[in-house]
Amino acid sequence: MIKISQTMTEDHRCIDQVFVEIEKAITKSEWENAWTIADSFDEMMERHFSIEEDVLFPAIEDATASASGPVRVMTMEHDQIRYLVNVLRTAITERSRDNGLSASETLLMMIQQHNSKEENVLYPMADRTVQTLEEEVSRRILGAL
Amino acid sequence: MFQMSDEQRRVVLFQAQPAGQGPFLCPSALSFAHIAGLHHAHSALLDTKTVPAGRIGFVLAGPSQVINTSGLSLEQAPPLFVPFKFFFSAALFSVAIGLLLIFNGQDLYSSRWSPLALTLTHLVTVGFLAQVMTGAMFQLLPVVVGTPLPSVMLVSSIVNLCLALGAISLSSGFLFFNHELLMLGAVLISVGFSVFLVAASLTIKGKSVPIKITLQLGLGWFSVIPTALLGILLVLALAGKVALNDMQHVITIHLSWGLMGWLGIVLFSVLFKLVPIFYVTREIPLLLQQIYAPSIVILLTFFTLSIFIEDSVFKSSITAVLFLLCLMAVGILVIIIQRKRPIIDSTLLFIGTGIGCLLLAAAIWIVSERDVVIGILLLIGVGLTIPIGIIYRVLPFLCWYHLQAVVLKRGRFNAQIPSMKHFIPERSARRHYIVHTSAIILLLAGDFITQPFPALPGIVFTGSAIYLSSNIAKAYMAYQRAIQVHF
Repeated sequence: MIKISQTMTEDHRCIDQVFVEIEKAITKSEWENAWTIADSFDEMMERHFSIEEDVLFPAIEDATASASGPVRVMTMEHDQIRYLVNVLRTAITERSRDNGLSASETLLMMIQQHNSKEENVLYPMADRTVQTLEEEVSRRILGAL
Repeated sequence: MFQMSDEQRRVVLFQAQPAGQGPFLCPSALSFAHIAGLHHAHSALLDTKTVPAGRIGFVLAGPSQVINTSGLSLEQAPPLFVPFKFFFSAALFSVAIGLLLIFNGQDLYSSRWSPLALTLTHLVTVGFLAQVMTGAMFQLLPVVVGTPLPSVMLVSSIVNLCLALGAISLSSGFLFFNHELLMLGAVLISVGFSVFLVAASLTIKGKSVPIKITLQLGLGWFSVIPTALLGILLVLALAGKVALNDMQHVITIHLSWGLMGWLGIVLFSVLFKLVPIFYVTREIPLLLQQIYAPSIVILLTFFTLSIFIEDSVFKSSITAVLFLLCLMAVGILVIIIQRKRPIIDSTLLFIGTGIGCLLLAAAIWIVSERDVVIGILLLIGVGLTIPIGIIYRVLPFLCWYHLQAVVLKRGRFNAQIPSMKHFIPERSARRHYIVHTSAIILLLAGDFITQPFPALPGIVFTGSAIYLSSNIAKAYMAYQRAIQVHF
């Protein structure tokens, strides 16, 4: 069975690859290309966030009987990341290489420290709670057949 | 009888997908449907339809399995002043090293046992490295473990002060042949390390922590214990209170635990963690990551036993440790060369130079006995260079992160805040890199040629140290200014 932590960590790595492509385009001042890749990045990032915010985080909050703590901070950091993506897009629109690289540097650091917290703390927690969920669901569905 | 829909059947029959075709076709994208699908499937089974997850976790885990998250919040990054005070203290100690080199530079090359060499060694290890590494741990542990160190301001102040006063006392003791100062220094340093180790142990006690990084860092910091104990033993021997048969061998074991155990393991653990995320590289092979820290500790234990047991195998275990360190250095170089992110910034230059110095030191150790050159390469080339590179990436980010957090907490969602490069400009970091590497080259050259201006390496080194102190201080002041401008 695929663990939540494995799946979500893999997705972090995929998003990292797209980030690298944006940065490469900015380095070469290929602005249209940078904008298009930024669209893909946005799409992947929002899909990742929505799985966390709509599915994983509520399940973790329920299992931990807590509506604050790690989940609240992670959600806040999602907003910080969204803010930085906007800053990056502004730099691409203005065709400013310096601002673009500066924003991409900050964005990368923000994403990476956020990912580290999720991969080290939150996803293992999700593994423990959602694994119970998966087993129970499979058992009940198979039992109902 | 409950009938499954096609969607639910797909969810139940879900199998692992093969690897994707690249960044735009990820297997995880398929897996997410699996996760979401499970929640929807469960929702379909409930009498009251809670979509998507509802109270699933609680219902299925049951109250008895509710996970305790007390103390776990992920926002417990310590105040910016905590890492700053450690980094700035370290930078000030590097200025002290430079000043000593200006006025006594030529004595450095007379012997590795000269008072100046011993003073400089401990200013680098305890004055600079201990400050930087404990400061970094106060920052790193919450990210790795998910909880802050207890009473972080108080504990960090005690550790910072004990290590600073201990380094001053110990170094002065070596410089002026004063046994009382040596003993005071050894006690203060031991207290500083003990407070940190107890606080760090309490932080991870009872928590579910990631094994790999915790084991690596744990074994690295464990190596401080034999280093400090042997250090105290040596100070007692110097004071004539303990008789040691082979003091030189005990000194070698003391510095092996310090440089190869503590510095080697902690530095590489941090590089293994940071290089892949800074430059989007692949990971160091898992096997190497798992075995290097325990192997180094076991080999150093064998080497320590050679005090009591005359065994050439035990004595040569130090060569194996050196081989392992070189293997890790090559590993870091390989992943840097193969990195996805083509950018070459000052941090990469500092890290690359540090790794190069380590490999050069190992090569010289094999072919000759130039102890002073090896010492300069390891202490200044590796011990100062790599941490400076990491500080230049981490400190500006922390300034930005804390500023952003303040902005969000105060509801200033539209406030424009500077990017991290504003806090330590890349141009400034690169200039420092040139001055720093020039200082290393001049220091090394002194062992091969008679310097026409003996004070020159010291002057350049002091310039480099002042540059570092000024960059760190400017970053903190820029943060304070930004807080005032926005609020």
